[in-house]
Amino acid sequence: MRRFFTRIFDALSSTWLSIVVLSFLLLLTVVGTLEQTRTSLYEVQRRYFESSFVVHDLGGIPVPLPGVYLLLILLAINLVCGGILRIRKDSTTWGVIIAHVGILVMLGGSMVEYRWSEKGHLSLAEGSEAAEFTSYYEWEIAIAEARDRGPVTELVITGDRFMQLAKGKTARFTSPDIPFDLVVQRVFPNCEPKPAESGGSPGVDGIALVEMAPEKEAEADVAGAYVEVRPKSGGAAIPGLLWALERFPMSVNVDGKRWTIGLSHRRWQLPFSVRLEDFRQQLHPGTGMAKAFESDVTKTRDGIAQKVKISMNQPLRESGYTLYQSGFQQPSTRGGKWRSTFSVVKNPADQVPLYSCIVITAGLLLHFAQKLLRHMRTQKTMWRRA
Amino acid sequence: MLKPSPILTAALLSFAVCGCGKDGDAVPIDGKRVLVAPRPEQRMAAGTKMRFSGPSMDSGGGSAQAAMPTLAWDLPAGWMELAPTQMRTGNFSVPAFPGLECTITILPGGGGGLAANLNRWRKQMGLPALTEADIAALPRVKLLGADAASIVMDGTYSGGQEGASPGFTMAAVVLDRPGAAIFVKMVGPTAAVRAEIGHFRALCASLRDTSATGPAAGGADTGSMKWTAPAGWTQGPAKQMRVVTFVPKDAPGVECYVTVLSGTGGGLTANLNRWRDQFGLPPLTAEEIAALPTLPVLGRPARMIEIDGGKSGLFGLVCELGTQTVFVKMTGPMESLRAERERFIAFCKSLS
Repeated sequence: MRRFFTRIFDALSSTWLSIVVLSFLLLLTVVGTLEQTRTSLYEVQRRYFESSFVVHDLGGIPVPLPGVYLLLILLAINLVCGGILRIRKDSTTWGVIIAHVGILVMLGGSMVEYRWSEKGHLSLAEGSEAAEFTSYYEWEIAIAEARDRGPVTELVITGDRFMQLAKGKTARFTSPDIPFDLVVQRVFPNCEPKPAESGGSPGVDGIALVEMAPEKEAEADVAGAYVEVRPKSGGAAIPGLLWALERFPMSVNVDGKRWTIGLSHRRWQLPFSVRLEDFRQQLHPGTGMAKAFESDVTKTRDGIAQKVKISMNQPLRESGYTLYQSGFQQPSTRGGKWRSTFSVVKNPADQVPLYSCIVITAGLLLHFAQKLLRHMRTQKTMWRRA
Repeated sequence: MLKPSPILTAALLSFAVCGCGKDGDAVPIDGKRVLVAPRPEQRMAAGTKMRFSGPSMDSGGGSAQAAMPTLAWDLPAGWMELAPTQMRTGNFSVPAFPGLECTITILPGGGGGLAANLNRWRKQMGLPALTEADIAALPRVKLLGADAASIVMDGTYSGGQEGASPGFTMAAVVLDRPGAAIFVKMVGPTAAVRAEIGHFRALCASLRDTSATGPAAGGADTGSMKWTAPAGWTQGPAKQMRVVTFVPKDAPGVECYVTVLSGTGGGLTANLNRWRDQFGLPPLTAEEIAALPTLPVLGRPARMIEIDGGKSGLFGLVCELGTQTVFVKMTGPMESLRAERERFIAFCKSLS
């Protein structure tokens, strides 16, 4: 048994594994980049860089490859086993060990970002205020009791729990806060509602969702789903359609209360609100191309308002969130209001690449300095002998 | 030498990390967030057809869009018409009675139902709820040619911004017709309401649905209209109320169509603001409408509006010809609309 584990450790710490993993990473970087000419960046990221395995289409020939996610896990294991545990530990290898630790920190930061970061956008018209931002790609189903006013609690089912439903499978979601279960029966990443007779799919109230090919840019996809509301009290199930561009959410009356169920891009709440006071743009002379643009916003947190300017190289950082100036939209009418768009990122590991690069640089400097000193000492000895 | 067994082990480990869910089992909903106020769209109890009415759906025949009336009325003597709001299609005050207000509201999909609305108002007046039998027994008046429930309630009004107001009266007429409910309501001090109840009845009697006076009703002549289809646009199937429909080939979800209505078709302001209301946007003021860009269409300047509703939007053009009005609408996802903007303008200009 010990021999078995020794062999595993030897394999995981081998330089051969490093070479194989790094070669595949290089290959996947190339094919993943080329694939972006055919499909969206988001889809490429999902299929090649966030998966354990991928089947690459090489001119009609399916080529199975390990995904970057799996390769990076193997690389991390290889680094721990070979670059930290197995490596000879003396004064000559400290620099290499430190550099390996730096690479591991970088990989760890990537994992944190992949698992726990939030990325989206916030679009505001001048004079408007918001305290939540919207994902470009992720979806959610929000369930809330319909009220005219006052605070509302929304129950949120994130897209990762229903968007990958296999055909013929259903997912039933429940909560003690609502008097029904929501069954998601069929999901379309991109679809359009049509009169039921033209869609070929079973419809609800004469309307069916018709699946469409994914858009070139994944953020243009409009997801939809067939759902069923099953009252816990045992009443008849209520079928419904959800579509991300629907004008109003699905509305059902269960046990004397009205509930709304809506599908939309995933939304995250900010611990502060942002109000767009003014937007300005500067054009390249003689053209309609924006040279620079910036927004004056009021950030309010816990009742304390603060004026902040957000420009292309000057983001707003607050409570772990970073708001970058990413776009704008001209008023559609004369005298209308400008609309400014901010990319919003919450990444608990956003400083990790900096720190890991510092560690790697320190490790390599130490290693090269040691090598240089050793070389100089050898030269000195040779001169003396000569 | 690389051994296969460690790789397999690592692959299995990675699967364990990825994890996967079980279909069909009850999955607890653990995401929760609190909003300080409901989202505007959550306030609307819309039926399936209303929820999906839009670019990709047939707006003729039974769609809720078609069921939404465009109302016109005769302003009673001594009354003043105020700017419409998001919820109020008609908004009136009576200068002689400052505390009096009258509103006309159209809600799609029944607006929650007759009983729910009547009893909500009764609650605002501090009165007990009516039973279904009580509601069925309410007197009926004619509204848009149909029988509408009529009610007058005296009590303490708590639905205004000034808190509880004793000695108030609310008069209301509700028409619950397929696809949309129409509410005409007047509320104010009892003496004022009693004095103006005749005008209120006259307003109700004067209501008319101008959306029903299109080509199908024989009001407009569209047979001689011509156009040039922009490159990449294909003509869609004929639909009720529409002169022609086009679908841009490279803009999924986008649809452009021409409608001609007799007379003013409800009026420029009402139509533009109805379109804006469909996207949850506040109405434009007269100054803002006057500032809208114009295009030369059919030999006249036609107002063009671009409504950005966030995900989806509308480009619209209204060309008033005197005896009839031409409407050109293009709806769909906002990004696609922007891409088709120049072709939309070219299409509008090509109308002859």
